[in-house]
Amino acid sequence: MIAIEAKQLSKQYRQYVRPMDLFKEWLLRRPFHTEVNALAPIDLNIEKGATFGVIGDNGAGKSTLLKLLAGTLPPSTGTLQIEGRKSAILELGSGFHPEFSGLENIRLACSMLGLSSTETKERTPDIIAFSELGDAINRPVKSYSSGMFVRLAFSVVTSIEPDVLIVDEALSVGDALFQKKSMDRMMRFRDEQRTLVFCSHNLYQVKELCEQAIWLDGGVLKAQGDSATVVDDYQDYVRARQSAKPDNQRVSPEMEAVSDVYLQEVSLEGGIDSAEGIPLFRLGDPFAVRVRAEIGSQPAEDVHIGLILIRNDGLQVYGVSTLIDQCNLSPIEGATYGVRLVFDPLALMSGDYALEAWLLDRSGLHVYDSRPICCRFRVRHESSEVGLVKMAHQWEPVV
Amino acid sequence: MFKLYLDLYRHRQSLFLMVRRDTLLRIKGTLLGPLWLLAQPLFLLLVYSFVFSGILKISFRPDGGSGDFALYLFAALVPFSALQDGLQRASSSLLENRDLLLKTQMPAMVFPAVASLGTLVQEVIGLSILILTAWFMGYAPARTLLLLPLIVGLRLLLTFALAPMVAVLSVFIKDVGQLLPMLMTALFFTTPIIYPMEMIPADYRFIIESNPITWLVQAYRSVILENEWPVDDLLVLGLACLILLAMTGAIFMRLQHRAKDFL
Repeated sequence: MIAIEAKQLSKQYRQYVRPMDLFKEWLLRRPFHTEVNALAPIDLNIEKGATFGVIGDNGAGKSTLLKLLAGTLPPSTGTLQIEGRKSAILELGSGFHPEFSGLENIRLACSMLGLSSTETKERTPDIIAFSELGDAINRPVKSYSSGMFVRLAFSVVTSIEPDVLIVDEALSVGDALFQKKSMDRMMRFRDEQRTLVFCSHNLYQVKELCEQAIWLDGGVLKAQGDSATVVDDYQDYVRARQSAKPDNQRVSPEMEAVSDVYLQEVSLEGGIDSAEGIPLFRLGDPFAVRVRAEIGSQPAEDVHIGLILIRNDGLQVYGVSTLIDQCNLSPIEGATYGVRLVFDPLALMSGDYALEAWLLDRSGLHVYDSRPICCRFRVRHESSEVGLVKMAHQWEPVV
Repeated sequence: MFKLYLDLYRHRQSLFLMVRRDTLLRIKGTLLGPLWLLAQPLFLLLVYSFVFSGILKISFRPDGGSGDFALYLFAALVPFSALQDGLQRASSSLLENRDLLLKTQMPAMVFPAVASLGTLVQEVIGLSILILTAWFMGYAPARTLLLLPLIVGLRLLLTFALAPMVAVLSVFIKDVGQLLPMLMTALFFTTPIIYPMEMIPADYRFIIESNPITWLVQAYRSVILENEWPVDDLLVLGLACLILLAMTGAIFMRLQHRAKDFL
């Protein structure tokens, strides 16, 4: 069963430089505005009981989409159908008045969420208990710390039990303990077959809580699919953008090989071809790099190969060389020598990576040749583990 | 358009709580508390009595004493300032409640409605003081007072028929907020509030008589002080309110969503 069905839903704003332009337009029947495209037409089908994540940069149209779904903004085009009672948390504590007590604010906030006064009375003890405010509930809200404020606000909005809940950036509030509680409440929502749509900058939450996700960029749908894939793609994109800054370029292009000692080939073994034409590996796959070098008239012991694994945001994950490991290149034919660097199993977590290859002398100070960024590849992992690499570990009973 | 007003009915509980909150907010934290709601109109009545009856010695009716002037003035001033106050508050209602408007599912109509309804508290207190004072001065409460709730209702309806229009227009045109006090002053002087109808030269009388606020304040005076049944006035006024309500509804419905892009 479909809980939310949106067809060609979009939002454009008209932006007028001066209020006068609105009148000019009205009188002269000629446009005097610039159209701002907040959200390009988008189709959504969200199943009942599904958890749906929305990710993207600031200003990507996430909040616009959620406001459209919540019905607080009318769409410019398209239709929207929502089955069942919906509720939206677009901002925590909007409508709270600082002069009134927490209890008083609960009354109005519940009423604005559509609860009758008897329903509100029934739920008030739960709300107070969940917010952990205790006696402070009778004090004016202006005396609350910001943590108390958001705890109360969160408790109110989640105390109602809608069929469709739309949440904008509201989950990461309060201290660690309260965050756990609120996360549990969201999980319970999911388990009770309620539909949850939410956007967050906490990508881990999106990956954990949602089955499906979309990635918006500049008001345009960039990716849609299962949340792990969408989140990983988005993370790659963010990192790629960060490393595109010129100061991250550590190897200057002038360093061209001019001698007869040079890198002939740096290549990866294995991997599946992904859509972008770069090989895809899974966490735990065998992974090997093959390097071939011309060493010319140099003795074999004087040529060493260094390899560095780099994530696409410029982070060096691991770098090692035949010099460090005291290993020699093996002859292939004539002056061509080679070596394989094997990682089995591959311990890298999801991300886009590349290699940096260096051809060094025995001292490690002279560089014969180098490849700044080569052999780009992608790694994906399915589990909910987070981080850069999978570390060897075990869980043990406490003695 | 009916949906617009129906939505309002569906949110009546929030509406009531918001009116209550607005009223409480005025007196919250003050030393006198609810006494302020009483003190303000009482003070106004005393000042007017002193100035007009004590110093200027104007009388409202040829046969009345000068003491009556303050009563006649007050009977018109109470509803007029309620109307004025309501529209003034409505003009900033959408701007002030921007957060609620954009981030909760409250319909936009709620905010001017709260501004209109909020004036009822002040008016009821002002009228109670007026009726008691009049009684004290020899105007025993007449049976025509039974009509007063209806008249107050019409006054409220008139405020509410104008408030949403003022509210939504102020979003598009900030100048409305500046213009409104001037318009209200003009309205104040084209309504027989501080002068009796009889003082108007016959040539200008049609201006005053075509003003719906004139019918309204005359109705207040009729039932409180003159023991008359202003049925014709009320019928015309009711009709005017309905037309205004339809006009405002149409305008508000067309503009309320676009107003959100401007907030």
